Amino acid sequence: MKILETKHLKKYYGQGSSLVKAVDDISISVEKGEFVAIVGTSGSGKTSLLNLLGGLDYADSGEVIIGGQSLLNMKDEERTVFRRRNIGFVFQNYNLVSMLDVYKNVVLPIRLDGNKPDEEFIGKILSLLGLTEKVRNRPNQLSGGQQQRVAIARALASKPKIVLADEPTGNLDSRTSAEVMGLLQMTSREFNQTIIMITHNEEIAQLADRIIHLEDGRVVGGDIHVSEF
Amino acid sequence: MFRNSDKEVLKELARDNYSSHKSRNRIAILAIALTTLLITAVWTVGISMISTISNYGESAPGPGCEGNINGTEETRQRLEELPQIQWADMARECSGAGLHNREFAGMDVRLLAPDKGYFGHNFVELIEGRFAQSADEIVISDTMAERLGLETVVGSQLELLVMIGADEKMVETPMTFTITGYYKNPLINISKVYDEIYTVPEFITQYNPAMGQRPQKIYVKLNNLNPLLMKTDVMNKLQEANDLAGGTGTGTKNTSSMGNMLLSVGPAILFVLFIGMSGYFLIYNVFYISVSSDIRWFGMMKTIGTTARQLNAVLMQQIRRLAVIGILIGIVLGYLVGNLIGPGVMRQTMYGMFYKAPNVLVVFLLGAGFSWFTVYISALKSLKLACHISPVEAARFTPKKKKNMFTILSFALSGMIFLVSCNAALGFSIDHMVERYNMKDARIFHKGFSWSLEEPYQPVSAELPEKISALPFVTNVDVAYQARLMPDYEETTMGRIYWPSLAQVSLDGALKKEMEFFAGSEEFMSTYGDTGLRDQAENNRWKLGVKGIPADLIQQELACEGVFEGTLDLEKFEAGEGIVWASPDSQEILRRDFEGSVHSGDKTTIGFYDAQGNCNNLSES
Repeated sequence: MKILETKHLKKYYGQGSSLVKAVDDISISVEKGEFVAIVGTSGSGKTSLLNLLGGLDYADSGEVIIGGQSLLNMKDEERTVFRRRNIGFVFQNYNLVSMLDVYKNVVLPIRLDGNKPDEEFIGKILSLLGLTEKVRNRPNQLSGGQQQRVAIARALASKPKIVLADEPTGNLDSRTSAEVMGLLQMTSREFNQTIIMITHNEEIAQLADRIIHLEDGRVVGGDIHVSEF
Repeated sequence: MFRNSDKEVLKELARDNYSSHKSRNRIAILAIALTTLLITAVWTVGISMISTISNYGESAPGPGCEGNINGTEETRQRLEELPQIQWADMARECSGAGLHNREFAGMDVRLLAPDKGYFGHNFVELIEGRFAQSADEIVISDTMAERLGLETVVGSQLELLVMIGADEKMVETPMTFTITGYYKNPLINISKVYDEIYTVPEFITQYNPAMGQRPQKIYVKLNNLNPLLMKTDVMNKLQEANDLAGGTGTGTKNTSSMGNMLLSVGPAILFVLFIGMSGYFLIYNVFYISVSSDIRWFGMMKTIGTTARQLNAVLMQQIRRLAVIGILIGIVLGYLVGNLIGPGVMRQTMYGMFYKAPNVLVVFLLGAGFSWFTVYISALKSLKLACHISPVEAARFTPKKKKNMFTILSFALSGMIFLVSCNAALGFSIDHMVERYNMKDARIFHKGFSWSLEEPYQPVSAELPEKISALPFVTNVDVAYQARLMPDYEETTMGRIYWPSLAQVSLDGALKKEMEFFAGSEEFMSTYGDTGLRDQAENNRWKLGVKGIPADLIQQELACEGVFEGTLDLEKFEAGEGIVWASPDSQEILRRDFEGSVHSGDKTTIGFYDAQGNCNNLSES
């Protein structure tokens, strides 16, 4: 079952000789429960593509369809609400609300939607990510790895259709990076969660189910299913 | 079905965001408090000014009326039948002039015989006793009782020096009255200079029939006045009623026209706008800097699904909290500062004695309203930036450098306004001003020096300066004279009026040219009023104040007043060969168009008219 699909997606910056084709006619699809890594060097268009997939930026042309809903004609406010309900984000620098404790950070998107958190599900996530003992701690009382776990928990809490992770291990040492990647893999399997991760690190990308290579804004070398190796 | 609510989480976010910006909060509260303080202080002074001016206008004889029409009993009866008149009460003057008792020195105390309705219509309420029932009975005010030091008022005897007769035949006559009651003075604001004692109309027929021949003041209350016209239609309606009832003239209270009111309050309003503008820049920058430095946080919040409406709510809760604290501090301090400044400011005007503190609630509401408006519009742009920036824009956001300069400028502007306000309010020294404008500790004027009189002019006796000199606390007395042309009166419908001390002169050369310029100037007339200058110019017979001042005194006087051109040649002045000319354009309104025809060293001839109308020339330089 297709959970995400892009059709001839384009995003260009500048004009004439300074034209940069950040995303150049990308058409990809992701199945439900897949863990996909998008890999590319700096300037390959990874972040631009992630911004388009997450509805954070508007494409020049083409379409992004998530769970059967196109983002194309959604206005800013609609996109925000759509993101809140359908997309979880994990960032390199965690992006947690510093004054809220772990639990409040995790349930924040749910509460912003005016809903009560599914305590059983939240408890399961926190337990799985090893955060049960830390729920009353504030982000600044946690290590980098722990903060990224909180970010993953927050991304999963509203049971989104996809989780977009932008260099989730970029700020972590190799041991913690491996730990976080393990957790992402585990949650993908445990909750049948679709995860799209952006990274420049080929080694980390190997932990995904599928790797998409980007170069100059285009998908190169076709989709590589890790199991093919 | 329950509606989903995000209120609680937004409150938490606002609270958390608020507590993580301690420095911003302190600066924002300071900026809001400072703006509110200045706005409230100016409002306090401005409103007290309006109420004081209004109070001054209302504090006039006949406090319940709109004005008076002069006439007889028949006029009063005709007035009562007019649809535009609500009531008309005559208050008959029983004495040819103000009462002469020594206790009333410096005051105008009238002995009146009003119609019965006058008391109720003009808020004259008895505290004790009853109104007079015979020509030997009077009621006095509570302020008068206090002035006279009466321990027991009702039943006491009081001797009044009544002017019996009219015009030049008036005779100061001691008459003893029984006080039958005393009333709460409705004119308490002017009780230091004016008071009324009431008897019955029979007093006139019994003791002073001359006053029965004169038209009297009929105080009237008008119907259907348009409150939006700020009483400017009072004059027209009074004149209309006067014409219809056959009155002999009208008079209004000192009601300020819209123009005068704006002239007085205009600077306060301008000041509020100026402060508001400065406050706007200050608060705007505080919020803008705060939002700019938090822009990534706003971007992140939008990424995880916080809508513009929700971010607006989070920010507005913080702004409201900052505003409440800042406004409360500012409003209380502003009211206190304003109340300290207000009486001082009013003391410098002619309205000083009518000072009325403003209504606290009105000041608080206006101060809070204007400050909140300033805070709100100051925050609008920052709110827009925070709520509508996209996550991608937020990630790339760099604050504009120009803003730094703008911030510095706005802080400087606010600081300047604050310092100017403080200096204006606190830098004024009454003592310094008194010293600057007065060469002596005290001046004693004859009332007729600058005011019209109801009784014949009697010069100050030659012994008075000597008597004053002999007082143990007096070290020096100088006497200055002012010329007065005789005869000095004019017959009016209300009896004979004696004019203030003025000489009648014919002018020549530069002096004549200068006076003719003023007589022909519309601007001069509109500024100083038409005092018959054009007629005087036609006949070259000018009414001028001509002062005779000892040479050493003129030196001190000029040191205080300032010399516009030339230097004082004391020897020449002392020898009677020189004059000092004070331009009638005392406010120097026409200075930019006219430098003056009279110059130091000019020779001129002044002709003085005598009582027989002969003109005696005198050449001076």
